[in-house]
Amino acid sequence: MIVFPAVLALILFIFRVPVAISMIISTLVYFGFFNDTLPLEFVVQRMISANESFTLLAVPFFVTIGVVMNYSGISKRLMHFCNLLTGHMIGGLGQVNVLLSTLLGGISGSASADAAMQCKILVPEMEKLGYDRSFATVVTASSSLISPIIPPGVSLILYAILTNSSVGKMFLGGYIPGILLCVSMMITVHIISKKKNYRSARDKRAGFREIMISLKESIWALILPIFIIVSLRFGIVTPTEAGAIIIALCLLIGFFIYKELKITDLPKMLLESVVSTSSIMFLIIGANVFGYYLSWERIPQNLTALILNATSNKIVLLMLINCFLLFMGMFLEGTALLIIATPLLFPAVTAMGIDPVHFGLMMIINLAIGGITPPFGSIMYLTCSITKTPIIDFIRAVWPFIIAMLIILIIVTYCPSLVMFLPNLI
Amino acid sequence: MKKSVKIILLNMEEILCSVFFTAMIVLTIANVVSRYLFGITLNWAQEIAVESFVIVVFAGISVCYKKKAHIYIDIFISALPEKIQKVVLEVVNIFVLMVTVYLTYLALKLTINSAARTTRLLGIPYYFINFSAVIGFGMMSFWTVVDFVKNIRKRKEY
Repeated sequence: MIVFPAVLALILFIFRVPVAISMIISTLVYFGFFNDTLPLEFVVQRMISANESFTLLAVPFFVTIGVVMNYSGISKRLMHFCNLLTGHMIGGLGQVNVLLSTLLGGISGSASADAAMQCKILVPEMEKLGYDRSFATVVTASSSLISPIIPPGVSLILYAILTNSSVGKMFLGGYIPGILLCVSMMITVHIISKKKNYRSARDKRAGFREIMISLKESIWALILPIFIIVSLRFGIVTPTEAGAIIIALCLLIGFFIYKELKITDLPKMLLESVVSTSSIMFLIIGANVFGYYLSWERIPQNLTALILNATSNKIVLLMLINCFLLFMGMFLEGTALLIIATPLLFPAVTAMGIDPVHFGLMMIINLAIGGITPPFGSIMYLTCSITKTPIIDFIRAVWPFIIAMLIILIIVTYCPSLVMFLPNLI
Repeated sequence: MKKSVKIILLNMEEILCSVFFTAMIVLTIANVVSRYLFGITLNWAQEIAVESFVIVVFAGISVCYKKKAHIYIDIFISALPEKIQKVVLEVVNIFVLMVTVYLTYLALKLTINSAARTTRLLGIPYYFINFSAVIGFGMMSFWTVVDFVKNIRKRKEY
């Protein structure tokens, strides 16, 4: 077993070489010096063919939906709706923040579009009402992690592709954990707001009439998730096609119903989508060729044997994997870690008889936590740089949310029936 | 007139990506519409959508470089003192440049060798698709060099 290329990749990570390029370099080194069965241009060939997948095409589409919703005014109307529902509670705008992420998660698939939008709109509002900026940023960052777990989510799609599971089942598995996370965060916001005496956003509960009017305004955004579930459940469209159709619907709503979109916005939206698509996909194709090296050297199989020798207890195994992923998540970006770790851990997990969908959701929640844990949390850096919050203040305010997420992680890990309830209905 | 040519040349990858990204969305929707309205599945549309996706991703590698959107881990480097940080980053950048130049060469070799290969349905030569990798890595190398020259000029001013 030649491990030098894997070690080399880690060294390159440390020296800030882009993750995808590090993995490509290691693969080139392997096929250049250790194994001459493959001419090096075929490494590039493999990267291209890894990209030629209709299922993967869902990734750019669900990333784009997040961008389009922000430009077309759908996000803004949903925010108003959430404000009517939860604004009167203690820590009103904090609750709005969490609920909005959950509802947006039902349409868009990425945490960063959600976090960026709420940092720009909600955080200033929260500050005006006397919330600490660090608390507002922390709520935005943590709650945005719900969006990729509520289907459709990019990581759900990626995991399904990596493990050959059904995208539809992964989607259905995401609902209950996503809602649990939402509830746990709303409780956290409540406790902290009570302690710090944060005002509610509205003096009293919104009237039925008022809620109905807002519901009528934002009804489109609330119907779309139902459209996704129904069309996937009955096989009317594939997940990829659902993504494309929703982009079109959001554009139509933005142009003709809300009349907020302008033709001049289109190039900006396209470019934003291209950049997020390419940066995720480059990682995926880099990991794909790296995976080729790994499987050539039978590294996942050896790791499986090692793990199965160490423990034959499911509970212990899952705990070990969780600790390992949480630790790695502190240093690596979530999507990157998902792509690297899934092929390594998956054979051992299935050998133990753990359901792929259950394991997938456990892993995705675990990696989501990595987005807000110091020292390297991608969402932490993103939100702090937008709201200009010092990282140290963020870290001081974030731990209650990390605890809330850890509790849900433990529940999901040890109650597989909770995750599997909806997928098993099919 | 000259100015607009310059803008187009400087944003070549962005324009290329935007065009193919639009194609990806439009063709996927066209396929669904045609399937339900006319009962015809447009397999060729799906094929073009997927190949456009490849072009978007590979040409997008250079766009990501320009927008500083590549994913990297800077926690270790940022712990170093600022002066050493700058030196290390310069060395790393030169190293990455060497790699992207080499990848451009590999992609070019692949492109030249792939003239005979065509896509399954429409018979589009892989020539076109593989060339997007040349653009992506090639332009990334180009912009890295441009940044270097800028940095050197800046230093001379002091």
